[in-house]
Amino acid sequence: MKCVSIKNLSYAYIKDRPVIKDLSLDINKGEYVSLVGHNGCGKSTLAKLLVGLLIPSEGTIEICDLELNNKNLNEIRKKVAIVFQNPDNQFIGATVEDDIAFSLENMCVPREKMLSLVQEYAKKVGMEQFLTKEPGYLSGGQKQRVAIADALIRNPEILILDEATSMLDPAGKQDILNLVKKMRLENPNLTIISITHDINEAYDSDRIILMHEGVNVLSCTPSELFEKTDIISKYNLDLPFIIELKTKIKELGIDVKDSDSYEEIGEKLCKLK
Amino acid sequence: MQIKISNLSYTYLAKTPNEVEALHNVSLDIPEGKITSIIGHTGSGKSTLIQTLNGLLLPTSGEVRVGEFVVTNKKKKNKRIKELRKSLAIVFQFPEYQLFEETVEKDVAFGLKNYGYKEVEAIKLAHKALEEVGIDKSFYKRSPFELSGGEKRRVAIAGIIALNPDILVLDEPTAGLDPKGSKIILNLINKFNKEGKTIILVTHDMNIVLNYSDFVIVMNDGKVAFEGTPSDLFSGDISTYSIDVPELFKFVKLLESKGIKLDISKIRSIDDLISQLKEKR
Repeated sequence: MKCVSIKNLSYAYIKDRPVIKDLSLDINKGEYVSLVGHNGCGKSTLAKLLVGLLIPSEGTIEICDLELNNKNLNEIRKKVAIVFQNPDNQFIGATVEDDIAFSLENMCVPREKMLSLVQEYAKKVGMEQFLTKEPGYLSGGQKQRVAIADALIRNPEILILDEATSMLDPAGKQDILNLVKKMRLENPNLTIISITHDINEAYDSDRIILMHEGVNVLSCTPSELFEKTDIISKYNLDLPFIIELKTKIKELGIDVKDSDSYEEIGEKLCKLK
Repeated sequence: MQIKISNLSYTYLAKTPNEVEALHNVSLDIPEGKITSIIGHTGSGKSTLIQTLNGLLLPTSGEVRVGEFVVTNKKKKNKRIKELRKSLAIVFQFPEYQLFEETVEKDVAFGLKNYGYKEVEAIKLAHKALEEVGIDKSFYKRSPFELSGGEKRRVAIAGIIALNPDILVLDEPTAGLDPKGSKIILNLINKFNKEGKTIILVTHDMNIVLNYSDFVIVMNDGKVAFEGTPSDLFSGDISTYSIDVPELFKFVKLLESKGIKLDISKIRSIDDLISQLKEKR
């Protein structure tokens, strides 16, 4: 079932210089999609269009069968949550607690329910010890975890992560990625659109959409993409370490094509001795 | 200029209910002319540490010596701090957010003018700095806000480089850039180092630590947990610091556990590993 349907979408910040050009794209319910491509290829613009922060110059966007327009905007914003790269730009509350509760207040959730929900989601992102702290006293990674709790607490259909982990340390990043995995297990209908430069992160998704100068040039599974070496070098993409390792080991004349873990590759190298 | 940190402690909001000790009795030497990475998980004290280096934060106790400059909590001793900030300059995380001028060249010249350079000379030095970071002449008169993320960051770095500091500190210089943009910045850092500048990098990217740094300092809980070379760090047990082992070292360790003998201190990349494996055949 389609969850996002984009048809002939174009967007230009400056007239006649479109950043998104005639883009058509479908994303299914429950799908985990990574949007990759170099800076300025239109990924973040697309994310902003999806939540109605920008109005398309041309074309249409449908979210859960609702066309994104002024009339449906409020309805759609309930379904889509976005987490941006820089947590400082999205902190609203005076304390962590207030911040997580903010959207619930807007949705008129009863206080009792709100209190338990705030507790629950703070715990999910590992911030339950910080509920009464002010954002100024939190580190970047901690702020971002709060931002993710803010997004998830509304129980959205679609979660957009716009480089949400790029400012976190490795442990914090892994936390968030595990959290995303957990959310998907708990709610298989949650659609995730992740904008990322981290190819190892994209490796975990169901599908990678490669964007270049405002168009989607490729849409395939991660393993299909990593086999296309011409595309990888043409668009300056990184390879996940294991793929790079396998390519280099092939040069030694060892066949590791079907080995998918370090263990298996290691075994093959041992036989060499 | 060598950096010598002795018994440095720093407490945020000291003597209030919210006080947090971010650095606890840190003593460190950071060598001249090398690339040193400072790593550690979020909240370990990395950013506090670099801000004490040029007196943006004054130590609660202890001192920092940078060449002949001293930073302590005694205000009288810190008179030359403006001079120090010209010798030890910090490029903060996402420096492009600090761009504000009408044109690229004016933005780069801003710091110079604060240091007393006349307009003409400031612009001349700004052009030189922009050339160093590889920003094309056609951009000089354009608004910095029209540039791409990677270009903006290079303009921001030019603003710092224009002051010609001896020591350049960069906090997460590649965060948020695409692979190509990251590579350009890292090559630039390498170039500055080759020209004689001491580089200090704060990073979460273990591949930067492995591929670009001579030394690495691990911060944990406001204390120095490790000091040494990257290969020493990654070949040892780092599980307690909550930092990532680079994928390469995960694989190298696995090979070792299988009885394949390797010279770990010489492995910095897949190619190094492959060439050692080749010799075995």
